[in-house]
Amino acid sequence: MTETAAVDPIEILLAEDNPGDIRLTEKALESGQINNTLHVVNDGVEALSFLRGEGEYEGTPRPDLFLLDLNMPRMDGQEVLEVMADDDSLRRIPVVILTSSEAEEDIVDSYDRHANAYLTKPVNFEGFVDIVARIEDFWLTVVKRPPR
Amino acid sequence: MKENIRSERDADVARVDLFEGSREGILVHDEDGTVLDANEAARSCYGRSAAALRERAIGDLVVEDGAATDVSTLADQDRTVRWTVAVPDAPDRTLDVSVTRASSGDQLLSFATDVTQQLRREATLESNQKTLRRLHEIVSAREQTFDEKVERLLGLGRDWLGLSVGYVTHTEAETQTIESAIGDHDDIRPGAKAPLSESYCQHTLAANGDDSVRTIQSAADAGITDSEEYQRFGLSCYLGGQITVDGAAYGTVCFADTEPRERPFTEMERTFVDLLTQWLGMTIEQRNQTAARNRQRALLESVFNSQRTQVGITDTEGRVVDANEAAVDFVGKDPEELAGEFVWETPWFESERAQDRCKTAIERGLQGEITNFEISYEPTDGTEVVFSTNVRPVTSDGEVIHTVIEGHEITELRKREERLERLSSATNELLYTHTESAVASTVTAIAQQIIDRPIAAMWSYEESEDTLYPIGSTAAAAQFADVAVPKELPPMEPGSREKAIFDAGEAVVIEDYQTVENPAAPEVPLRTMFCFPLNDLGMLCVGSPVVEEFAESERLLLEILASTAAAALDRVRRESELQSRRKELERSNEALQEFAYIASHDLQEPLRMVASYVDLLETEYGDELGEEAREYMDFAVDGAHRMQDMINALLQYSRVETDAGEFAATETERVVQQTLDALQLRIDETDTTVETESLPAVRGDPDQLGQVFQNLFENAIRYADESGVDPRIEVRATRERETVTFAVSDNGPGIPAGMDEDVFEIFNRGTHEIEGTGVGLAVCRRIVRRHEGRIWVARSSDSGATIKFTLPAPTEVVE
Repeated sequence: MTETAAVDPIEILLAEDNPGDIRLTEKALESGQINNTLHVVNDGVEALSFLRGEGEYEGTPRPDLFLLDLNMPRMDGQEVLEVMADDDSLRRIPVVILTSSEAEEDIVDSYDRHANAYLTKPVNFEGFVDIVARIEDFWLTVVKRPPR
Repeated sequence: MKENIRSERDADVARVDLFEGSREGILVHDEDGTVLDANEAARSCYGRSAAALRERAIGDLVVEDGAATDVSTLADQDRTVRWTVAVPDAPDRTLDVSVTRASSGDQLLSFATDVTQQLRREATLESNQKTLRRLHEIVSAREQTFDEKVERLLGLGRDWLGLSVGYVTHTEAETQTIESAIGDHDDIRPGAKAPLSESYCQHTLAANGDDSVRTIQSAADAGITDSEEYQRFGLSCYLGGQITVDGAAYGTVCFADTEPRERPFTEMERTFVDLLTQWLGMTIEQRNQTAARNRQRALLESVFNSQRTQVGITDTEGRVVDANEAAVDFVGKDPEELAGEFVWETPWFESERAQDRCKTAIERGLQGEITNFEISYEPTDGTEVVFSTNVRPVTSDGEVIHTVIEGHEITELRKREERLERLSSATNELLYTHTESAVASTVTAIAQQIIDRPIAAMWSYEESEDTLYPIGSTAAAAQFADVAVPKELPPMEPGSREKAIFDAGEAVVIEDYQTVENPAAPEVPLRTMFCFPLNDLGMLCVGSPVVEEFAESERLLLEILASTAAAALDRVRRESELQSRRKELERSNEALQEFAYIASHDLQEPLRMVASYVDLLETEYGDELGEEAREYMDFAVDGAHRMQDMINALLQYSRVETDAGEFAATETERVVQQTLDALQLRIDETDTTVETESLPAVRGDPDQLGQVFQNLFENAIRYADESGVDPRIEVRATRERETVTFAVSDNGPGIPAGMDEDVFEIFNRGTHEIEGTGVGLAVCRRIVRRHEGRIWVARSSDSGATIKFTLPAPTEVVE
């Protein structure tokens, strides 16, 4: 066993309504280098409950990285960003937008609401794996993250 | 002895020296006067050799009869005589001669001085002085007219100069007119005209400068015998000067002859002509001023006596000095009664207000100012009369000596002006109407209020039904037709008289409206109806319950109103058409934007699922699948990718409108360079050469222009490269007045015949064998069209493809 294995797994929250994309993300993370735990929620309301440890999410760990889709039912990604930016306890969580939208207004709005990165979903699986690997590399090894 | 002889010989030599060297002509005579010897000066004086003089009797040489030629007597008398002697082949000479007896006693010596030149100079001087005196006498003669003086001056000059003709010309519009002339020359007589280009005087006039006098001594010597002026007038010698009037060339004064002149013109002769030109210039100037003054006086006279204008003249206190007939008639008083009254206290000014204004105006007039004011009278019959009054000073040497007060009636004029003014301001209102009924109510209101025609209505033509429907009227018109609202007025249907007038397109007055069998308005109590078709848009009708003729001025006003109404209707219709087009355009733009959003989100999602899971399937189960299954999956992935490209292409196409930038003056060269930089990798990979010339600036959206060049370059590289040659791109441009035409050529396979139009359609590619989304040229066309330009395939004998397109030249010229 390496030293890394002894360390607590990295907690990742994925907010995504498309089961296909959830699955692809899981697959991509599985093939990655980092020991992680992926938590999945299907809309913005659930995402916020998770982040705050409310209701069924009581006692869940605070995520080290939040992968957020924009198009979701009930509450979309932009609204989630807005709430997080206004909440002192959530503001520091690194958020990476992972979406299929290439619309300029979505990109601008996201950064305006303090998203840390904006990535569009690649069209094929290989591309997807590559993107997730880069997220892992950058956010989970290169970057000094805020304390939990 | 020897010495004496020498001294005598020396003395002789000295004498001979003295004799030969003398500046006087010395002849040695015998007692009878026969010439024995002559010195050099004498030979010159008498114009003969010593041999020719010897043995001649002196009396033979002197030409005058009775001249004292007896030398021995002359010697005794010791006086000087004047001889005129004949000289062979030369004019006679005048000599002053004195005679003395030689010391030897038997010989006489005559001493002669040639005074010919001196006498001639004296004569000329005298003649000059005489001529100048005459000139002065003529010009200062009081009792003679200008024309008489000119004739006498020309006569004086002609005689003095010894030439046959003298004349004065006036030049106007390249034509020379002879105003005065003396002498016998067919073409030089008063009133004769000639083109300036065929006159001698053209050169005189052309020679601007101090020396404005031009001379020709001999046409042959001057080399002008081929000239047009010589051909026309045949004058061999000429002396002419320019007459300047009010600083401009007026014409010339000239003397001339058909024969050449023996001696050149002298300075004095030129001066004479110069003096003549100065006097003529000055006199003509004065004469013009006098004529203008006389004209002005006649004009004033007629103004003063005009029936239309009332004129009064006051003294420096404002008292009436004189008044014209019209003024006297108007107030109905005798001129004697008015004289001496303060002008503002005369019956011309009734009201206190009018009197005040008049008094103020007169006071100002006496200060040298001009005042205009209007006054109105209300005579007993109640019709207002308006006068425009003007008071102005009359000055002499800067002092005001009178004021003139002038009034003329402007009642009609004012009324017409007011109507026109109101009509024009009312028509301005029409500019702010946006519906047909608003146009109709404004137009009919104008007819009622301004042209005083309360019965007015307007119809609009509905093409689909070939019928005119009412769109508005005055209340009076509705009342006449017995309808509640204008919309209920009868339509003008095919077959009706009104519809026929509309079809004919000419304004018509129907004078028997009521009696006409009229299904449109059977019981309308209208007698006269004026119908104005408004082009093919509608009709304006103005009616009257009495039979009457429309006055010409009223007809004119109504015509103005009708044409304004037509223009307003036309504008309103265009506006509404434009409005609906704009809405349609907005809707289609919105749809496009919506599509773009859908394409970028929703359409991509399912596509990504297909592509990703086929990928995943291959990754995880590839080993378990057969070769054929993997091939199927390749097709599926390829299809998904193509679909993705097409969606992106569509998106790009739609963004031409939605992501449009502002137009600005754009340096095309920089845009092209940036595009080439962006494509550098591809250019290097494919060994592409690009040749561009100096490209003019254009007006456009720089980003989109870059897109156009990028798409064209990419196509050129791709097609040439795929066909196996090193791509070669040429960019050329020509600037016309308002557009710049660009040509991008390549050395690829070219565009197949019959595809010139198709290539610009979206998803339509030149050849299907080559990768591409088929959107590049479609985007180019959309961008070029957005710039109001044109794009097309240019055909030439060269292989490869040439795409040409136009873009607007910058509004400010960028050189």
